[in-house]
Formats: sequence, C-alpha cells, structure tokens
Amino acid sequence: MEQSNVCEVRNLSFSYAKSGFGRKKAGQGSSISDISFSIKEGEILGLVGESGSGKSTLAKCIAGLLEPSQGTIEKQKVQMVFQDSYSALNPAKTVGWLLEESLRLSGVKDKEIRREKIRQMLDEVELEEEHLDRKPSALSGGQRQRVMIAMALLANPGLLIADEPVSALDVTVQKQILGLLKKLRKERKLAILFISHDLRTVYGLCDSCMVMKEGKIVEAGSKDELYCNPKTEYTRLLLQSAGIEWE
Amino acid sequence: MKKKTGKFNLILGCILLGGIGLFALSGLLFMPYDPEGMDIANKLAAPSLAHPFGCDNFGRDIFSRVQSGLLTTLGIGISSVALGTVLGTLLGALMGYYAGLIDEGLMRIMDVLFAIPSILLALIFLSVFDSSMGNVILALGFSIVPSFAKMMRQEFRKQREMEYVKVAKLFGASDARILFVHILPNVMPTFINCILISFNNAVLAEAGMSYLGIGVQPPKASLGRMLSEAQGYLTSAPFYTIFPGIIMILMLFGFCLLSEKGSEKNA
Ligand SMILES: Nc1ncnc2c1ncn2[C@@H]1O[C@H](COP(=O)(O)OP(=O)(O)O)[C@@H](O)[C@H]1O
Ligand SMILES: [Mg+2]
Repeated sequence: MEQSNVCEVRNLSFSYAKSGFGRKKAGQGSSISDISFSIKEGEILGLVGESGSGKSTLAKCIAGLLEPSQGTIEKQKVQMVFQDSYSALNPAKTVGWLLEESLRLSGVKDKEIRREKIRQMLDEVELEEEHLDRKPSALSGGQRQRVMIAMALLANPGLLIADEPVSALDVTVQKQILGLLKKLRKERKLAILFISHDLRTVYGLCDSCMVMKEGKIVEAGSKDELYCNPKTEYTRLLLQSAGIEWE
Repeated sequence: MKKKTGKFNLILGCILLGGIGLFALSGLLFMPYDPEGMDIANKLAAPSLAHPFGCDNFGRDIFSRVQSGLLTTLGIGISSVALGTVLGTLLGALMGYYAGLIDEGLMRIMDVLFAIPSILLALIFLSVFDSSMGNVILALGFSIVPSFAKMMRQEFRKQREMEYVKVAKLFGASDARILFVHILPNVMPTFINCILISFNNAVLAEAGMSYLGIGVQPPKASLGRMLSEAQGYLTSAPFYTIFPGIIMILMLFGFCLLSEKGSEKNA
C-alpha cells in the first residue's frame, strides 16, 4: 500500500449467494465485480450510481461486513455511517451508552477518559450534553446522523464510509451534515468514501468520483473530469437526469 | 380505551402479586403452628380464632400449611423458571442468531420435545429419578425450555436483521456481547412475557404433579399437594380446599394480568 493511501481495493468481487434449503449456489444473485480503486489520506471520494447498483454492497465489503469472493482490500481501520440512522442506532440504548460502547469496543478501559473523549466529541459534531441521556428515537434525523458520525469517529478510523448519510434528511439538515463532514476532513485529515445516488450532493463534497452501474465501476476520475467532461454515455445520462450541464 | 384496561390490569396484577408476596413473607417471618405438626384432637376443625383457616385431616393448622405451601410452590416455581429462562434464552438466542446447522439441529430437537406435553416429560423424568425437590425443579425447568426457546428464537431472528446489529459487529463487539448486551434489551417485552407465562405453567404443572403424587412428597406442603389431599373432604370440610385454592388462583390470576399487559405492549 502506498504511503498516503488509507484504502486500496484490487479486483474486488462479491456475489450474494442464492440460498434454497440452506444450500448455497455461487454465482447467482446480484453482485459487484472486478472493482479497483484507492483512497488517499484526507481525500473525499464520491461513489454514485442508481439504487441497486451495488454501492452499499461495496461499502460493506470494504467495512468487512461481507466477505469478498475475490480480490484484495488493504485498509486502515474503517468505520461506517449508515443511511437509516433510525435502525442503525440501538433503540434500547441511550446516546451516551452508544458513544461509550464505541470507546469500550476500541479498548478505552478508563471510564474518566471515555467521559472526556465523549465531551470533546460532542463539541466536534455539535451535539449537546443533554442528548446523552436520550434514546435515539427522541432525536431528530440530523441529530441521529451526528450521533452515528460521533460513534464512528470515537473508534478512530482512517477511513469513514458514509453510505447515503443525508438521503433521508431534508435539505437544510443535509447541508449541515455535509458541512460537518467537510470540517472533519479538514481538521482530522479523515478520508471519506461518500456514497450517494444524488450527483449534486457528491459534487459539492468530493475531490474525485466513481460512477457505478450494475455492480461495476463504469467511470472514475477527478471531480472536474467527471462532471465537466463525462466520457461514458451512462454518466452523461446521470448528469442529465440530475439537471447538471456539462461542456 | 384499550390503554386504560391495560393499565388497570397492570395495577390489579401488581396488587394481587404484592399481596401474595406479603403473605409469603409472613410465612418466612412467622408461622402460628408447625405446618407439619399433627394434633388429632383438631382433626378437620372448622375455621376459628385459634385456627383461622381451620385444620386438616391430621389436625394440622391449614393457615400455617398454606404459608409453608406457598413458599414451597414459589420456591419451585422461581427456581425452575430461572433454570428454564437461562437455558431457553441461551438456546433461543443461539438458534435465532446463527442460522444454518445449529438452528436446524436444535429446532428439530425442540420440535420433538414440543410434540410431547411438557407434563408428560416431567412425569417420565420423575418416574425414572426420585421425586426430590431438586428433581422436581429440574423436571419443571427443562419442561419450560422448548416453548421458551422457540419464542426467544423468533425474536432474535427478527433482531438479527436489524442494522444496529451490523453496527455493533462493525465496532468489534463479540457475538456474546451482541446477543446479550445489544439485542436482549430490545426483546424485553417478549422476554418478560415468557417468564410470566412459564411461571404460571410451572405452578400449574407442580400442582398437577403433586396431584398425581409425583411432585412434592408428604408431609411437606405445597399448594398443589394440599389441593390433592383436600379433594377427599370437599363436602365435609370445604375450607380445606378453599384456602389453598384461593391463594393459588389469585397468584395465577396476578401473573396472567401482568403477562397480558406484556403482550399488549408487544402488539
Ligand atoms: N442481503 C442481500 N441478499 C441478496 N441480495 C441483496 C442483499 N442486499 C442487497 N442485495 C441486492 O444487491 C444489489 C445491490 O444492492 P445494494 O448494494 O444495496 O445497492 P445500492 O446501495 O447501490 O442501492 C441489489 O440488486 C439488491 O437487491
Ligand atoms: Mg444502498
């Protein structure tokens, strides 16, 4: 792995096994195939594609939640923020417990240190102390997403995967969360793989971008290349339907 | 409207069980007579100031026997339910969380056990081993396991698919921690309901077993044992049946009210 890369994916393939009566047949079901890319420290890489194109599948492979069938992933510690913050946060626990659990599981044994780190993190993601005693259901969508981000950051990852983190939020809250991600990248030199089906959101945030279709990366490049000079028909189509003009 | 009756049930259930609890506590602190002490002069004596619940066919004080019988019944109920809960939850969690062979295998065993009435299982167990208190508890405890495990399995199966479980995995939580720290609090309503229903079943089964003469052995008192001994005197000394019967009914009713509350919350 190159010095400054936090994640390097080579020829990655994965397919959901179709199972019937407990037997697994390989090669059936939806899949992603032959995916290669790398992310540098402090880089925000966008991943766009229509829903069902395999973005979340790729994210889960990188995070280690799915075992790829082929290819290699070299990576630093990866954490993930999910689209549906409602189901991603344990409904039976308080925000304080969830944040502390993240630290406990990353091996911070001292209770006082955990408290202190959580206090700092609240400032960083702009949450209040009073939120700590609440259950996730008593928070707004934006606040829940901040909790997710805080949980992820407390585990101190080199790469943060944000899988459609703002798709369920309304526009003003979207802007705030995107602003927060930008700030984190700047202050922490955090690398982010930002996934969205919305090309506009990605444009405002990323340095470079990949387009995914039916489980394959069909185009990748810097932001300017991709948005101003799209090479494939599919990317043009996506840009067009998002109402973005190119040269 | 429904909410109100639910609350009413909860309050009434708590009052009933609170009363039963106090009565049991009184038995721990003070019994007016030795529950196994016979006094033939008082054989089947009607309730009086000296013997508020009357005396049984051996002249034993029924009040003291109900106190001691309730303690025995509660003791057996609580221990067997504790055993059934631990094993049932463990099996249910494993079956629900790990699909595949573990689940398939255990589930088939559960199905077989499920097909045989649990009281019959307990009967077989107690006819092979002797009816000591420990064996009664073991028999009842194991008889609870299949239904408990089945219900918990369903809940864990549902929770397994939830995203928060994936999140916990991603953060590096061990399977045991995911099962019992992350998931279990989310299935509390069903869990508590299972415990309440199991307790009712255990108390009824204990009574049934005593009735058949394989449960608690004389001269020890249990509510079920007393009921079976009292049946011969149903017309000549109805108080002999009535007092242990009332205590048992109130207790079962109390648990029913609470478990109803639980299932309403679930729906
Ligand atoms: N657990 C699963 N089992 C089988 N197929 C799945 C599973 N999850 C997703 N898929 C399928 O894989 C494909 C890609 O899904 P996903 O990665 O979620 O796409 P995206 O995130 O881009 O919307 C879809 O066709 C979806 O139906
Ligand atoms: Mg997705």
